[in-house]
Amino acid sequence: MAEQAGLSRQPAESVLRLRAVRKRYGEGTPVETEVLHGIDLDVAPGEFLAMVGPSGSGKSTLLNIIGLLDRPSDGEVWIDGRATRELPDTERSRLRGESLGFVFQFHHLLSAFSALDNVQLPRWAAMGRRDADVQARAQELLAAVGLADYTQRRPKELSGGQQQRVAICRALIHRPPLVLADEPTGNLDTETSAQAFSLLRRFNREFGCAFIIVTHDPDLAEGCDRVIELIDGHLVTDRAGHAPDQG
Amino acid sequence: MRVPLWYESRLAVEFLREGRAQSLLIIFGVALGVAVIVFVLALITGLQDNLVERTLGTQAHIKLRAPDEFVRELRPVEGLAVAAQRRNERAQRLRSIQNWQAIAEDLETTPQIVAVSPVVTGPAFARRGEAFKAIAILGVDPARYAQIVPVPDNMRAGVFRPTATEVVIGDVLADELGVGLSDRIRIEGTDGRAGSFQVAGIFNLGVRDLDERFVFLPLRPAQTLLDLPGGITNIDVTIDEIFAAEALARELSGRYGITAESWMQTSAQLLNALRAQSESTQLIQSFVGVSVAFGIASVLAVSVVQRRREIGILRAMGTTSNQVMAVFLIQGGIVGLIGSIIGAVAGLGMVQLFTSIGPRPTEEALFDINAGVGLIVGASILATLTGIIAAYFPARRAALVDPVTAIRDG
Repeated sequence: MAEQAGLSRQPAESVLRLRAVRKRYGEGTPVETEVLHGIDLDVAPGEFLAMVGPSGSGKSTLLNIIGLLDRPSDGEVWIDGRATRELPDTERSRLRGESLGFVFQFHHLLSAFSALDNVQLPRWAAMGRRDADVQARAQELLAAVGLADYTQRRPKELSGGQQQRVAICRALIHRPPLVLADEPTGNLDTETSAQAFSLLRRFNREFGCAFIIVTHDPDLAEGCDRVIELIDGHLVTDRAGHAPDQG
Repeated sequence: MRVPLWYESRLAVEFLREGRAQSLLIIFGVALGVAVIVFVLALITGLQDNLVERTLGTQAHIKLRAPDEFVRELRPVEGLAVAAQRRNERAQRLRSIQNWQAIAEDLETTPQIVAVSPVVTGPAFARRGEAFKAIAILGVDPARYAQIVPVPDNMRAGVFRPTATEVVIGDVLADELGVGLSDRIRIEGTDGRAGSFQVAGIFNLGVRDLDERFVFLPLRPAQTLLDLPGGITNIDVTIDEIFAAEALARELSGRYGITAESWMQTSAQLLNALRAQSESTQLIQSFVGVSVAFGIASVLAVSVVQRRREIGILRAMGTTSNQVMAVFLIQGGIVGLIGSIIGAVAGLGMVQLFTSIGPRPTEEALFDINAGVGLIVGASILATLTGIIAAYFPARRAALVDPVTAIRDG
């Protein structure tokens, strides 16, 4: 079933390609500032990548541009082989719903919906209807993260770690080629944090989704295949991680 | 399988359910507004219908009669002094409509006209012993006249069946003359023409003037008493759409070259009062409607602010801005729909309560409950649309929420 869904997608060399991406704020005013100075980046399918850097280095801005939530001032962003610069807003929303998954620092589940419904929401938005296959897949995913008995719970009836696991399932419901995670463990204690991270790793291997994980945690970053470092809007480091089980 | 707007409706419903207190408040507000509108509308419509019905219960919708006779102006002839400086208006004698059979036949084939009744009417006196009363003779064909004024439904005694020797009179006249059924009265018409008649029926139309003066006879004896052999003075007409009476009267007047008076002309004052009443109720209703709309808009605007972060997440997960907009428009529609149904039912309940304990101008029901269903449906459609329109500005704000800042700032 999942393979069928993937058939319509052209196999792309990179799930993400950035060329000369710049971002300026306050353009045309005396306080104009450039926060990204021409970023080039390629992410291959199935890559597990950490983005690190100090606060204010432009990580979040870059992630928002990659996530099509923000537009670059210059440069081009290809998602799954598709150029996004000229796309109208509605098309960008669609592409976001089909090709990207988001995991936020603060789980950000919709409190009015059950865990099961929260996981299905991105598909509902794209399909405009309820779907039995989607529901089955959501149930499977929740079971895979150990929440089989919690599917009907509301977010406020779940612990922080459980909420983050639901959010991870939500990001993966449509098996997107690229998942963006902004400090996915920033709000969790060490143990829960490790669990959430290994979950991301597991889905990376099982589904072949590429991940970009923004993190402050050096240990976590080293657990990834590749680490890029952003300082003052420049990509200064791009190296392999020290993933223990690499190869 | 595919339900249009399923996803947007689902979000709208869940958002409303989650913000329960807020939703109930706004629905209560809509219900209150609609209840007031429905109550006022039902009451005023009921009262007005009642008044119009009572007014039309005793008069024809359109009355055709012979045109007034007038004095022709003397044309000044050159070289001659003007003969008359003053013009005396001519006294109007009792005259028949010329060629009335043809007119009546033609009227009967006119589509808007439901009933046609030729009438011969004029002044006379009724006498019994010492009692002597001024009356109005109405020579009619009883079956046809009953379709103009429902006299048979208003009989106090006997039947509405005047014959060559029997008359039907009003109860006030009967009391004044001291007669009952089968008693005889003498009727004296024009130029000493008189006859003796038995009372076949006594009616009560609820209008003292008519109950005191109307005496019904068949056409022929009335024509004899009024010295108008074979003639009739009016043609009374009932039409299907009462408020079209004035326009139709004008048309008929032009068509036959005779005078046609509609009930709207003779009851102009009543109509003016009704119109003023309708206008002021409409004004009240639009004010209530506008405040309901503002209520919906402001509560939804607050809800957009409260749900900013959730809107941001929905956008990140591929929800388009149009979908977000639809979510809030639907919320406005739902609130309007539920609120108006509750309000309309409550409003009609208030009308029922009012008619059962409040002042009652008549014995009949003040308000036709059948009109209630239409009123609920109408109010619901209107309030749903109002809700959607009121939700437009908050919905637009929701659609324009920037996901980046919404997610970051919460």
